[in-house]
Amino acid sequence: MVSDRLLHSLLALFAALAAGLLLLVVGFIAQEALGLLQQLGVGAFLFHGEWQPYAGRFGLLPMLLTSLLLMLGAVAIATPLAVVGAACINFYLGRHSAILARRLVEIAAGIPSVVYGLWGLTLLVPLLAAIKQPGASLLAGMMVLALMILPTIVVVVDAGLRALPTHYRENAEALAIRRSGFVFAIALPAVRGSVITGATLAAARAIGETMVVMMVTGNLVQLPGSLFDPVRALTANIALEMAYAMDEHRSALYVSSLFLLLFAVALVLTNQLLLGWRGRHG
Amino acid sequence: MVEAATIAPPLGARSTLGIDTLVWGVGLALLALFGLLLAEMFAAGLPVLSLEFITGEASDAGRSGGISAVLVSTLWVVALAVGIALPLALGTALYISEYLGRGSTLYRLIHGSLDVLSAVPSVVFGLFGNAVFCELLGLGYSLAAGALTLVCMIVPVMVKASVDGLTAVPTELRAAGSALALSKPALIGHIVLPAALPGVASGVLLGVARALAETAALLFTSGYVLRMPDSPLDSGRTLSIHIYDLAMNVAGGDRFAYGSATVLVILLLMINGAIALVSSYAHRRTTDS
Amino acid sequence: MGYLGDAMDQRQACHEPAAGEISLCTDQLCLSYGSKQALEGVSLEIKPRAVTAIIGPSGSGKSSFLCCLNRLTDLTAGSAVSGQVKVGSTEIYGTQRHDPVQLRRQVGMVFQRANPFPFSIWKNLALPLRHHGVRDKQQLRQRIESALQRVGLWDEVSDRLNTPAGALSGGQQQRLCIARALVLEPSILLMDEPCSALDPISTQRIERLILELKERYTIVIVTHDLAQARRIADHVALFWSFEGKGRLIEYGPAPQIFHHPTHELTGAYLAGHI
Ligand SMILES: Nc1ncnc2c1ncn2[C@@H]1O[C@H](COP(=O)(O)OP(=O)(O)O)[C@@H](O)[C@H]1O
Ligand SMILES: [Mg+2]
Repeated sequence: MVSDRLLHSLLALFAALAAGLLLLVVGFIAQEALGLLQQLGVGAFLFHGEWQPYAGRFGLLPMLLTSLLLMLGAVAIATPLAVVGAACINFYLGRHSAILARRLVEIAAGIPSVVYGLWGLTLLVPLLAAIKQPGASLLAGMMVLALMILPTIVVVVDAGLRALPTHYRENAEALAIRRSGFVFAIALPAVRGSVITGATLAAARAIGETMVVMMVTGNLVQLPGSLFDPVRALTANIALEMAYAMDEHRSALYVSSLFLLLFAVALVLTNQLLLGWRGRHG
Repeated sequence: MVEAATIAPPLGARSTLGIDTLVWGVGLALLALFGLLLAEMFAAGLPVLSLEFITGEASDAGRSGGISAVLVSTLWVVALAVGIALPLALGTALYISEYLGRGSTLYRLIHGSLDVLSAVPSVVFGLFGNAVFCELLGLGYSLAAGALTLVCMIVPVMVKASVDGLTAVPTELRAAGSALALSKPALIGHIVLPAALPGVASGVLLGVARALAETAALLFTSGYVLRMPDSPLDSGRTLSIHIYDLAMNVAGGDRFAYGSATVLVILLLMINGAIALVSSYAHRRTTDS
Repeated sequence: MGYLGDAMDQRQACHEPAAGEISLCTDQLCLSYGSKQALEGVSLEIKPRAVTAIIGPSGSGKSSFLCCLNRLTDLTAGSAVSGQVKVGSTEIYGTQRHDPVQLRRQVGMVFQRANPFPFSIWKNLALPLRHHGVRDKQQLRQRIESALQRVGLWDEVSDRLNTPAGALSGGQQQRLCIARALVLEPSILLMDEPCSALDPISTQRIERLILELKERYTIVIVTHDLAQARRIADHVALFWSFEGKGRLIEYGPAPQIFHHPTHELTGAYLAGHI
């Protein structure tokens, strides 16, 4: 039998390796990005609109805005629908249909993003193209992303609703409060923490998503003038240019990775802080 | 004089019918939407499935033939990634749950960094993997490089599930083991790990699902050569990349894209089912004794 | 020899053990869980080869006291012990790091809720033996059989040693747990309300067993059943909780405690007034 000391050190080594992965990833990306960042300054990336890597112009503004708009749009579409959907599953559907509905939502939450992209590309984009060419657009991106993150939010909110004490419902009934009144005045406010968690998780997923946006937004680097304009997101840009980017161009991709990383991390930490704060303040 | 109490008249005659209809409408519409999308995928994909499709060689850029090379590449990537990630994740989970006190600084530090790691966008992992595994380690575009990249992504998922499984082991069992003068390694090996096996198993399955679904991180690490790999050092294309490539880059590839998507989703459904089985087994075992 | 000792004598609670016996005593033992103090200043000397019953209302620190005697407190994060616990000549919370594994071979424990491992009956007993170096199949078999004989379980389970222990009845499971504690041949056996979840018949069996075991073992048993304490105890210690801190308020031979208690709380408690 191995000794306690040996096992302890071995496991500590594994844990250090696992936790060290983060340092490795962040450190590597930052190291590759910092040179160019120092040379050109953050402003050259954030406040300039021209992305011409061969001319040494690395303005990320259009793609940064696109990524933010895609994320905000998707979360704005998905969150209210998901919350109402979760309420429907919990308080409107019967026991057996609720079980079936939950299964369906779980399955939808586990479907790979490339399949959502496929759906968007073959079903939604032609539909939008019939309204206004070319179809692949900011709006398409928002809609498909919303569809992709919706099941995740439903799962989180549903878990929150299911954890509510049953006496809430009983008290509400005793006070002659109707079901809809109970749902919107008592149950949903009581799980607003879950809603926030679900929405932040979903936002992090949306801003980091690559396949969907690459497949349905048209990948044209420009400031979107309307919802129907084709655009390119930060993630798609990395994936599209990684294969051939060299030198400064490649560093610029690391800079955009760094921004993405910081953004996703900020979302997670915000969520943790909110959860911690709620934990302490009821 | 106080009047005799009467039954209160209905306060506000406002009907809640509108709100109820809205909830029903939204809920059912959402369920129908997802149901229809899945049905659409199966309708387009199932007719493509055949023995020839599963075992045949691709031809015409994937428009015809089969996906055997894709399946083999997928198997390599997933098996390697999970095989490497499992000891790492299990070791970490054991360290966290058996050797660190909850709420200790180190505990929060490891947990926090794994949380952050799980939020890093996959394309960032792709860029990282490309630079570190393909170029620095000299693996080139290869299944091994893709698998190593995936390891970084699935370790957090697997650690979390394993820790959940380990913390669910009843304290009475630990106390019984300690009182019998079992050393800590023996306690872990003979009592804790066997009892936590369902949690660990679902962690592994979650890791497999995550690895199967991943696309962006593999585009520039495992590559997308549509050929039967001879070894993990060859480049190869996983199912999800195959779907992407057929949909985006191959005119007329939709049919086979849907066929491959159907295979992928069926695999994921099987994993979902396995997770459900494992956890119901664990549930039954704990409620039995 | 004094039990509680007079106030003067408190520092000298632990006497030199008589030859050939593993003595057990505590001196000014205090235990806290984080900021909550559970035990305060408990000094007592357990008599060898006898049954010492620990009684007292729930929450008075009886289980906590027991857990100090084999360092099971180590399992609770944030617990802190001060004072002395001496097993034989070893101070188990002493400054030089003492190996709890060695200690727990000498001091066995049976818990309130039967906690067999989710294995077969055989493996429940074989695991601790194998771990402590018994490899020989013949010897394993012999020791397992004798442990099961001693708790009166052999005739009931000898034909199904490979079935899961969880399938046994509650009383059988508890006797299996006692057998499991006995296979290692400890010299001291700690029991925390071992009968509280059992039916009267199983309880009776276990009480008989305890009376047999005291020929060879030092037994410390926590019980909230005063009748049980009367039936089996040679010595009785009464714990009481003062503002949440458990203290030992009276300790002596069972007849004395039951018939001529000195502390007024003891009299009231035994009479059922509290
Ligand atoms: N693990 C623990 N953490 C914190 N407090 C505990 C713990 N175990 C016991 N306590 C507290 O210590 C006191 C004594 O408990 P215990 O020893 O179980 O009493 P008894 O066995 O006499 O009922 C109680 O107030 C209990 O709440
Ligand atoms: Mg107790």
